[in-house]
Amino acid sequence: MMLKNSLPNLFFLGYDKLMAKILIIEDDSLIVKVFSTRLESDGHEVFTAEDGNVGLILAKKEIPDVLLLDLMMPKVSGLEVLEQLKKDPRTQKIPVLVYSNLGREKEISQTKALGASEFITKADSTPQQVVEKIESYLK
Amino acid sequence: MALVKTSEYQRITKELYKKNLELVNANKVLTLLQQLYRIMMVVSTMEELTQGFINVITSTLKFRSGMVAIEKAGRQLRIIAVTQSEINNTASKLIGSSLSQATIPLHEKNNILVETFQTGKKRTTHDILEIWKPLVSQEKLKEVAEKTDIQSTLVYPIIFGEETLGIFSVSLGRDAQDMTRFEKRVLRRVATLFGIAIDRIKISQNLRKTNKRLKQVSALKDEFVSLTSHELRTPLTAIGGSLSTVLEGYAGKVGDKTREFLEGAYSENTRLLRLVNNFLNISRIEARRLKFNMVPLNLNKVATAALETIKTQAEEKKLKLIFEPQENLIVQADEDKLREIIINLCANAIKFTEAGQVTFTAWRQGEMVIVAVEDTGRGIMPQDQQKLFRKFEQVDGIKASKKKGGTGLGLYICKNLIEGMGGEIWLNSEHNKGSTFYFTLPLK
Repeated sequence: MMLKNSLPNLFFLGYDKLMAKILIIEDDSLIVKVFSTRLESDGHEVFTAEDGNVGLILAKKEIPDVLLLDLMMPKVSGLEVLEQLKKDPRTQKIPVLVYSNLGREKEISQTKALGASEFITKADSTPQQVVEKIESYLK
Repeated sequence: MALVKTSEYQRITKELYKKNLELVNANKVLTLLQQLYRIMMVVSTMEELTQGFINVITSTLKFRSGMVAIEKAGRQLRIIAVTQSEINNTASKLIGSSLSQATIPLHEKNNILVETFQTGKKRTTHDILEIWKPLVSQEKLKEVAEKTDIQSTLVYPIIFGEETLGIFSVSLGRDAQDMTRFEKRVLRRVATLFGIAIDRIKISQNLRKTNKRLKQVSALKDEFVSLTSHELRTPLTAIGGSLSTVLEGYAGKVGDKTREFLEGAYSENTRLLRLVNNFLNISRIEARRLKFNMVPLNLNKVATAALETIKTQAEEKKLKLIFEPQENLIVQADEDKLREIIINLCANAIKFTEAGQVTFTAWRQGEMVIVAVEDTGRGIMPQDQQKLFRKFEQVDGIKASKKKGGTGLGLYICKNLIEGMGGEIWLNSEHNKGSTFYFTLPLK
């Protein structure tokens, strides 16, 4: 079997998961843009925050269906955000996908212990794979 | 039996007595040396060594007192070990602190310890003033000198090679001239052994210090590589993500000419990311900090994701990248590391193949899964095959790596990752016919 160039089908992909709320907390604006573009084109409503503080406020206000969370951020770190989210009964059920390059054993076990659903190493995944992972939580 | 004359009998008895004495002495020397060697083997500090030596020497040879001093910082002699004796205890009291901390400046005149050290020659004195002069006041010393039963003190330099390392002294309740040839000979041998032992401690102390410093430097390097890699990976991820988003049509239609350039940029970016990943892996391997998160994994799934990231490289060279999984194989492995291995092996195969195809297959064999990456490249000569898995090795050396790109780390990393997960890696290759790399992984 040849690996075929997998261009996403803009009309059919994610049709059944239309209009999910997704929150991206990530301080790299280019990465934010990559995911908001892709997720919006799949029909989702995307909220973005470039630091942990704003991210927490948005999470509590919007109660997203899935949250993509960076770890190394100014002001409030991703670990703190995760901890706060899991403490609050309103936000504690939101699946949190940690998205970081700090893919060391320490960080992975820390985030898992705090209740993260996934640990995605940035450098090891294509945006397509990340989007698929996000959408797998929309059921 | 012949009768022995009385004079002859006496002569023989005398001779026997002499021989017996020699034997006793020889035995004494052997016991002493044996004890000193044993001390040498077990101690790790200068204090333990010198204290052990001087105790054994004074007690075996029945001296009244003994002392060791070592040169320190090129400026002074530091008394490092003293035996428990009347004279030493008195001196300690007079100095007002522990004797085995006292120092004597090397410019001190009329001190026999310093003199011995400076000249490198054995000295003898009957005057204890000459030993304690700078440490204890004249009047007090005179009091001590009147009371003590010590008649003479011998000071030996401790020499190793060209260097005088310190001195040791022994004090006697008799005149030094009354010492037997045997005693003098033993002390000379002990002085030599002292030099060797102290030098040995110095070397091991230096080694330990250097080792500690090296470990610190190495830890710093690992931390640096780890942080730098992270800092490099983040922007590279953002660039790659943007490019793929544009290429996949999310930002509007992409013209053919534009696509060509963007694909080139994307593929170079991926290559750079892989390099950084490899450096990060190397630093973890070297620091023995590789941790494996072993979970059951669907090999086909991991392989598909891995091949996805390098398919543009195959397309650029017009090579077919063939994926032939035979059955649904669930292996026990670390997902990120397995992906790295597959990417590394396939990227290598693509890099060294000019025409034809790269085939990825996997099958089950007993309790293991065998994965094979086969190419139609130029092959690897038998003499080069084992070298491949070493760090920084590439066939044809550096010249080839400059031409082909890469660091020569890929296979070294693969080997370490595979072995860390309980597998093995090997290859089969025929010149001009291509190579196949195999590796094994445990089944779930």
